[in-house]
Amino acid sequence: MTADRDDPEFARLDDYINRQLATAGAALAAHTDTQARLDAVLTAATHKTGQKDVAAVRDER
Amino acid sequence: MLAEIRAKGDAYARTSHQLSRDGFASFFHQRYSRTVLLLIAMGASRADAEDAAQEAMIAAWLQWETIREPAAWVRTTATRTFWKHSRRHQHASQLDETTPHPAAPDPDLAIFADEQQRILSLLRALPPAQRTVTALFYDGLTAPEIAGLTGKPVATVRSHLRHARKSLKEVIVSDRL
Repeated sequence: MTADRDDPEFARLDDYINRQLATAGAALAAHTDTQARLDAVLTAATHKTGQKDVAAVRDER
Repeated sequence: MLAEIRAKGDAYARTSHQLSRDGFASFFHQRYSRTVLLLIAMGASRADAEDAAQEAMIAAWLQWETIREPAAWVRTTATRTFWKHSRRHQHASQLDETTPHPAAPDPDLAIFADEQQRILSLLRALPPAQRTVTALFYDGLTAPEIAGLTGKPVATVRSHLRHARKSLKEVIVSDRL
């Protein structure tokens, strides 16, 4: 914890906002198909790796 | 003998890759929505926040074995990706006092309950420099860490943070605190 976070003037404000953001985060997660997003990330990464491999072979030629 | 060693090596590589993939999947499930929320609090639309978070996650997976602190790495990469896209589309939300506030309320934020929408709207309505610092602060960063990410002096970060929290405290009615 830092002095910023321990500031008594804002302790209740910080606690309140943190709780609201935690709830918002849970709502966002509930409205997100995280597994589908993960699959998309892995697929895109594989595609990018493939593109790099092709470029490396081309450069070697 | 050589074939046996090669087969063992291949099996090890497959196991290692699978463990790595499992670790990344677990990290992704923990951090993806949180990263999106951070960018929304910084002023991004939900769509832009998801794009930037996804781009950061792709980059993270491509160099997963070399990243020591993935949460910090993805936060930094996603934030910088969002800033870069914002500059390109002139929706700036970076540390520039002259940049505009987010325009109209984002209908995508309707997934949040009223009070969470209100808090996010208050954060998104802060002046850009205060908004960025405050969003990072409520994502768990300290003032020196925010200074490191934004390139601003720690004293400036603390000043933005103090002004922002004073404004927020005045607006959020006392019966809620």
